[in-house]
Amino acid sequence: MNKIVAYSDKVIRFLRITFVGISGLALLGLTLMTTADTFMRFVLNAPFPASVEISQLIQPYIVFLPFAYALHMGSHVRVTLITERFSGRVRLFLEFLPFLIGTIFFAVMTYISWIRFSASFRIQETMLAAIRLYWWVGKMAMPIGLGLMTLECLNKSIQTFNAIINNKQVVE
Amino acid sequence: MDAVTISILGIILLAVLLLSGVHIGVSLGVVGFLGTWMLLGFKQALYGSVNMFYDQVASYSLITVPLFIAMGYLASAGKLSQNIFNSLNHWIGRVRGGIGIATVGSCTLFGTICGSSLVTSSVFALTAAPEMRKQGYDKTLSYGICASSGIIGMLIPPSILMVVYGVLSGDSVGKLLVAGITPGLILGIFYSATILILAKIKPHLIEKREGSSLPLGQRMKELVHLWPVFVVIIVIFGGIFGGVFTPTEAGAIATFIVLVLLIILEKGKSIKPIIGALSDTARTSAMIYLIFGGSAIFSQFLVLSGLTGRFAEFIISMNLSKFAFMMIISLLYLVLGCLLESISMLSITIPLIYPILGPMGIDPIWYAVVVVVAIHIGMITPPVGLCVYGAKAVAEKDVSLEDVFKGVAPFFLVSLLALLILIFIPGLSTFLPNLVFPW
Repeated sequence: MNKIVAYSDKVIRFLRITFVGISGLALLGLTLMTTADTFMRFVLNAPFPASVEISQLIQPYIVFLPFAYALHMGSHVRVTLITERFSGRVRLFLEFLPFLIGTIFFAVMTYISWIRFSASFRIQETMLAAIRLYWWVGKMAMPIGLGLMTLECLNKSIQTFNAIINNKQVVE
Repeated sequence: MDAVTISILGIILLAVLLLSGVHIGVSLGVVGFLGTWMLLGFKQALYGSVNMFYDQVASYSLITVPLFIAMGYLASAGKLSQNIFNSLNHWIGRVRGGIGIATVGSCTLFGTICGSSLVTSSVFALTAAPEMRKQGYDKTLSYGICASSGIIGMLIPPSILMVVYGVLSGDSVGKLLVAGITPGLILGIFYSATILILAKIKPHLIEKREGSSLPLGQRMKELVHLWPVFVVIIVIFGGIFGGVFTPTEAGAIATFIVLVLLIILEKGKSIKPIIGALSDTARTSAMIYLIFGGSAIFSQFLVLSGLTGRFAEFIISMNLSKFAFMMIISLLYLVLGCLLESISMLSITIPLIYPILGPMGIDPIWYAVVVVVAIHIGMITPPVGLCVYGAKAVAEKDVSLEDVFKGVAPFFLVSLLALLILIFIPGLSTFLPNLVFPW
């Protein structure tokens, strides 16, 4: 069991870092494209075709991919006013609950967003833009980002559950 | 079970989930999904929720948010904050309380390149607070000034919270950004006056006259270091308010400029801070967008249930005056500020309260300014005072959280006074936006 947890930890860590890297590059790309587009429009009167639509395809990668990283870093906001008053196993159980709910919620979201993406891919759904752009390119980011988020939540649930059944005070 | 009962049960469940420590975005999403399931059926709720989540997160107007966040992190990674502080300090540092006022001024200026109060508080707690202590300031006051002044940075454009408010309510983001200038300046003036008064009535807080005396020529030279700030100000203010480009384009161009400045000013040592700033941006954006996505599902449920309409009817039937309504709303946000952080508060309350504004004849810009200022005051009040935590996180070892909260107390009272002024003089909030955007 511990070996499986350690191995999944490694895989998730690798994916987490890769996804944050892609998100950062996507943000840089968006910044450069929008700046160049504005410059071209005002100086040369020749804006990029469909820069708004391309931005809409890039944005999901900036946002969805680092969801799991934010969870790992403890950045997703929660109210800890009551939970932090407890200690020991009660506290661990209260830590376990959000991750369990998160696992179920994100698993459902991942599955449905995957169906949405595959339907869009199958019909090659195009955007209303000056050039041919496909909606599925943006929609693909949601199941990928939320899929990793589901794994991260599941991993944390298992770690917390392990700590509870092994009578530990904190998650290692 | 009728729709309104379902929605009330939904709100109770939301409170239970929030207090159990479930992440706010997840709580909003789960309650929104369950409520929509009860109202419309399982399949509609499933697909409707995912569609709402994606559409909200991928909406073009929200692209501004990660751009402004990136700009703030990139700016704080370089020496911009230190340069601003040094320049202002050499001009007014010799006055008793001068370094404190220089810090307030620096936070206001830094606010033009950074839309996050948390970042502003942390950056100046790191750079200005130790300098203040060296010059004889009490530790509580030093860190209190930095934690409080961070909220000025969040009001001065580009304000991330104003962009979020605009996206959630549908109001003009440009108008909202302009509207943040007046309350930001009012708070800046009030805080500076507070420091001067404290220096007079509590001299033990600022023990000796501070500041090194530099010749006028050298002080003028110091101002040259401020040029990057003015470039960004011209791009953002001139661009958005001159109608040259949209807030999203302004965000991208300003981020690009700050990125280039960082590369130039750090001379070959910029890779690490840039990677750090980008990963911080990714983390913060993910945190904000999860709340956005969840709140979109929750808002859909509230609208479908008809609770928003009923709530509006109820409030209107109370025949409250505009000012009484605004006082109650401010109190609500101040209380909520003890439990929730700013974006969560807006996400939960806007769908419920915003529909009331039209029938009550309340100017949405005035309302937005009052709400955003009230929310910001919540950022320096315990137990969720994020700016206080931000300052404490980078504070020197002998500074406790209680010290920072103690130092913030006078600024909290002054902020309440500023809030009352903004409530009773709506023109202060609406004058500038109406002047810049007369249409």
